[in-house]
Amino acid sequence: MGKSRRSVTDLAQRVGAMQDEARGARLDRERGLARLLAADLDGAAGRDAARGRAPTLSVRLVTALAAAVVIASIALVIGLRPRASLGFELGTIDAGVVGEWIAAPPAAELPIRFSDGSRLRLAPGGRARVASVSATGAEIALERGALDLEVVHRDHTSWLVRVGPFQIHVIGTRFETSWDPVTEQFGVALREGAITVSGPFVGEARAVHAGERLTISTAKNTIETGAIDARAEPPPILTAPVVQAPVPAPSGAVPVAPSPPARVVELEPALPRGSTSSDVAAAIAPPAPDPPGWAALALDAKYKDALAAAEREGFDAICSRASARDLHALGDAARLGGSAARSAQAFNTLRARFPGSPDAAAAAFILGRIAQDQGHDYAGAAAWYTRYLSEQPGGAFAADAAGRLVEVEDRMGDAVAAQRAAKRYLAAYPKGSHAAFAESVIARGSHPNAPGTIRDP
Amino acid sequence: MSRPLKLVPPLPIASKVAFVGDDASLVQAFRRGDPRARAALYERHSDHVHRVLYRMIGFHGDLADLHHDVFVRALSSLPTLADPSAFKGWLTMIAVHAARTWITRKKRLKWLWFVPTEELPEAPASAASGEVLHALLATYAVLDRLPVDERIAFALRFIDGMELTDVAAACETSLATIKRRLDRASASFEAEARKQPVLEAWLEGGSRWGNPGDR
Repeated sequence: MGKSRRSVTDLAQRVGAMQDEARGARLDRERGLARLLAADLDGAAGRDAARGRAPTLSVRLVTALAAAVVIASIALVIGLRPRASLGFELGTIDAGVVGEWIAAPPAAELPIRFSDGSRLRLAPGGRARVASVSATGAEIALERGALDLEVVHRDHTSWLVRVGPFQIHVIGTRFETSWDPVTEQFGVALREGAITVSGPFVGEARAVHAGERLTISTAKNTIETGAIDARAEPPPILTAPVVQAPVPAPSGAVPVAPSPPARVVELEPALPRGSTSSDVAAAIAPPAPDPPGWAALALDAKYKDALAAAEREGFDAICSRASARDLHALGDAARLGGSAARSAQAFNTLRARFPGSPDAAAAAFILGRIAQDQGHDYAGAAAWYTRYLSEQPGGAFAADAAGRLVEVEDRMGDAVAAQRAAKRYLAAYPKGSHAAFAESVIARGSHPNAPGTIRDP
Repeated sequence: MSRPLKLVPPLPIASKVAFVGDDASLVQAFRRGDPRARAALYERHSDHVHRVLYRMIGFHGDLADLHHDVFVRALSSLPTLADPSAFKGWLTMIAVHAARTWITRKKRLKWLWFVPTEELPEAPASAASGEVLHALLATYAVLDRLPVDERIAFALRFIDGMELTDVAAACETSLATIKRRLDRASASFEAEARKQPVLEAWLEGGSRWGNPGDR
């Protein structure tokens, strides 16, 4: 075995050792066993009876022939017939038509029932459209009014609700959403499950938790969060100051500057039914005597102070227990507070603790930016941008990530990779902000870029 | 028709009574319907299956699902196993089959969805330093570029340290074939690894990652 071969095997062994040390990848045996004990093996037997056996050559040949016949049949069927998608009905008998606008009567709500059992109710006067349906979900566009959704959760369920300039990603849940195009007010209240909202002020994916109400006014530049009131009415706007937040405007919403991030006023949790206004006042007073925590300082855009507060409170401890949303906020505070290392720690923790979540995907993009802008680690940045694009190919940062990928590949002097990235960028975003730069990379051909000629996005 | 969300019942509690006996007797017990056998087979082999899958696909959110799927497939088709004492090797074969399907499907999806081929797989951040994390990511990015059978052979033989005969059995091929496959995989891996700065440093004899035992 030569020297280089030994190096490869040595490298592979080291990779194995590193994997064994990675806590995040360890098997949750208790949960795995419980899941296996709950599994229906009889149901799987029919599907999997033949799996796992070492087939003989003749069996393989027969299998291959059968597979070819099946594939040809499937191709024929696919060619002749569209894939079965969800169907839906309006009211009591009308079959719904994809793409057509649906208007609820002025004095009655309109039920919309889907073949997977999901149920929608369009409030009186509301107007919506089932933009598309698939085997795993549907895309709904709410033009105006309120829509109550009860989406059945199944494997790979994927629903998207477009509400004005906002998008709600749904897996399986029960919530209400509304949009008023006149006042440009968006609202969503989640009763069960989990959803994410993307759009102005909330960025790529703002998780909304069960029992939470989120109201955004794009006209007033305000965003409010609070608990769903027990009476299912919009929550009362509290006029008293909220702990750790500045005094809100009389309406309860704090005007924010057009530039991000929008400030968020966290309303107190809903009080039990029958609570009085004095209960509300008692619940929010007196003001906390302790100095503000890192989260409050971050909300106030005091990022250096927020970072210092987080260090006092125990940065590592916060990372180990914070929610995905808080880890995102902590990472942003650290980044804007001047500590790239702490920021990377927060975002890496976010990815490790909440793999597969939208926040984790966004973290990949931000880690790429940190690597590129602050660490000048272009290979690392390329890796993170690529990762982000694989996880969120249509995400809010996809165009930026694809453009920055061209930059870092070019910066590394890999003309072939840079051109490949540039072509991909132009194919997806021919008029994007990086288009001119991508074209220049392609026009330059295989000649590597001279250092320092890269253009900022 | 309507199926509103509902609370799911708690997961069943595993029996605490340990099963005594070798794999063959465990398999026989499972076939007889012994209620302890399912848990015992899982307890005995879950770490092995997890490690083998982890080596082949790297850390990914699908790892737990894949692990579950391997056991469901194995136990649901256990009546077809001719030699009960060969349960572990048979389980490994199913894990390889599951991983191969998963990798192939991922590659197809990448092609369909315009995802760059340089996609880096997930890696657990845990306590790993940024450099170690990058090394893990880079390793699986390189493996992604290998043909799936070469990738699997490489992962089992070199990352996991499995014996050649076991690798051949798991991959359902001959010893000679697996040796040729490993030769090709090593050469391809090295060529691709040299394009990754963090791996190239290692191959050039650097010690940037440090000793895992020191971290």
